Amino acid sequence: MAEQIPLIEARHLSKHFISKSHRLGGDKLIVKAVNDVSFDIMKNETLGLVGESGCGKSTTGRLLIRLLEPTSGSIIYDGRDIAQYSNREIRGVRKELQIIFQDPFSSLNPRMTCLDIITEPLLIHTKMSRTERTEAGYELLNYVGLPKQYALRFPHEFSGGQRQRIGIARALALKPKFIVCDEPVSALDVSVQSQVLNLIVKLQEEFNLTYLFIAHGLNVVKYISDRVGVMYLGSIMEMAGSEEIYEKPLHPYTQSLISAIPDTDVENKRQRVILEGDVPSPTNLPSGCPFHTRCRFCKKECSEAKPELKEVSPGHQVACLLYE
Amino acid sequence: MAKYILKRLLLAIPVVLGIVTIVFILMRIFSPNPAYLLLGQRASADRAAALTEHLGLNEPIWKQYIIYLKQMLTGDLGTSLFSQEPVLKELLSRMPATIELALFAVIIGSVVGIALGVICAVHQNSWLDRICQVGGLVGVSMPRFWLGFMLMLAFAVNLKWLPPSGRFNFLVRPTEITGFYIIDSIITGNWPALWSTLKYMLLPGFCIAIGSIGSIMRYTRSTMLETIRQDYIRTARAKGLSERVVILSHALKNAMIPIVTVIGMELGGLFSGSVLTETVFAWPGVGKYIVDGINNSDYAVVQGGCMLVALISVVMNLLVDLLYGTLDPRIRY
Repeated sequence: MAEQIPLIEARHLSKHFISKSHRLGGDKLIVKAVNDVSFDIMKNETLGLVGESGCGKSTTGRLLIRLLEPTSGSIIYDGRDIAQYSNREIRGVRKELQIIFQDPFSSLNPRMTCLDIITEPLLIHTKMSRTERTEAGYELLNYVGLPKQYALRFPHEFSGGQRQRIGIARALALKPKFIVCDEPVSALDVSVQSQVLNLIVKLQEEFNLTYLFIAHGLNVVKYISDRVGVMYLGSIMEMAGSEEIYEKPLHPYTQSLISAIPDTDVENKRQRVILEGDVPSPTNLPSGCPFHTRCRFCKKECSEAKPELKEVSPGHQVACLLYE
Repeated sequence: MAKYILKRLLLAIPVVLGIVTIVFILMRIFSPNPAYLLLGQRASADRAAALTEHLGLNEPIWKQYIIYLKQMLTGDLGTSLFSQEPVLKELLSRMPATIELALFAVIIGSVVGIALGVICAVHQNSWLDRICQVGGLVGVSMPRFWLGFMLMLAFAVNLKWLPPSGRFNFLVRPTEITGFYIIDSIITGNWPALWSTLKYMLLPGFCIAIGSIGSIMRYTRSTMLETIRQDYIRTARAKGLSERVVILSHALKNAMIPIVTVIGMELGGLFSGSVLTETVFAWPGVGKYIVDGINNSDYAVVQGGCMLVALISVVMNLLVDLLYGTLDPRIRY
């Protein structure tokens, strides 16, 4: 089980993108992808982050390792606020903060061999010689379960699962402490998903890694995470231990998500909570609770003030007026 | 690979044959009888008829065509009516001038064009980008002969910095070894000749390069903009690479395919002679040779010249296609 020391703390993190309207003379639109998000990730734990497409979970992951610059807020890593770092300083901590990307087909440079892709970080961040780097590359391939003789192949010569293994080897090359897994298995066949997930779990134990695991498949997140956060429209709605959140979801949005998990048990007649309407546009957020436009329990106050994420039982936080 | 090259070369035969045929027919239809050009407008009809007969031009066209093809198969492109020299020999002696100018222009065009294109893509929509885009458009669309005259007027006539036309100064001409004057003057250590050669090359070279810069820059910019948004560029940033390495070694390398295509096309066009520029600057290359041939109704010259142009285009296209294989490991022949 995870130690209870935070490795990364996000405080009031926000990211707003400016998008120009395509019409001539159109107004600038501000897409509020992430709004005032605060949470901790403990050492050696896996924090799962779930939510619909476009809810800001990938943006949150990229903010944490500073692939994106936050609009406001701070990210405390190892006692330092890396949100304020310049690009040069960021490259200094880059080897400790890594990411595994979602799409293994487009995220590997088609002109580099597998070995070059995974050893390039070593070329920049270490003073290893060429042979040392190659040795390290073979070792990484071994960790992720790819045969050594594949080292000189190009990405297009691999299958999806193999490419994702290359992506994982690349992220591991610098022995990072924290890895953002940005939907690492959603582009893979179901049969390959579990292999890659098992690999991710195995590597965590072996290298004492801390993960932020982003996914939209709830089953996957439950399997891999210690705690789970649920995001909706750029805000975290609920956060709890992964058993707890599946057994006792508190937030109406979480309840509807959990009820949507497909079940093979015919006898188990669950109450499906079906949401009505669409997700509001992130350029024009609803006032108050972001979820109030679709909530079954919506009260008048819900549209007035945004509820804060509050602890309702030990380790279980929820942002909903129903529990105040 | 060898099989692929052979296949492509075999496919080139109908292309070259087709062009030779079209040029052959067009010359017979639209060019005046060269006998009058050789003898002068006031030559008597008898003499003109005798010369026509002597040149074999009173035979039916299809017969002339077959004779020409037979000659061509033996490597004989005929004889120029005016210089009485074999066309092949004259073409080959003019190739170095054309190739030297083309390489000079394309090297300037590629270096400046790619550099500006990358800068524009990285700073998309900045004032520099806008200026370059407008400038590039002007460069591409400006007629080269007009630009040639303007350059000549500015730098040769008014400022007197550079010679207006020609390829060499008789006083400091390098000894011809390869025919490429820059190489010749370096081999022989003739530095005044090198300096003079470069001065002669500067105006026609820039006249061509300005158009190349425009098109290469615009292609580089648009493919770079596309490549920069690829996921693997994000991966490269996640590795902690500096922005310079991300742009130059990850993005630019992947953007090279369309850029190489444009450069190859420019080079193919220029190797066969930049007809307008060579004529304006009296550059003794293949382009000017063909134009002179057209003016003189010199059938063999125009036919031979056009065949060479076609051959060069085909070979350049093949070279570009082969280059793709080294640029993109997904392409195999």
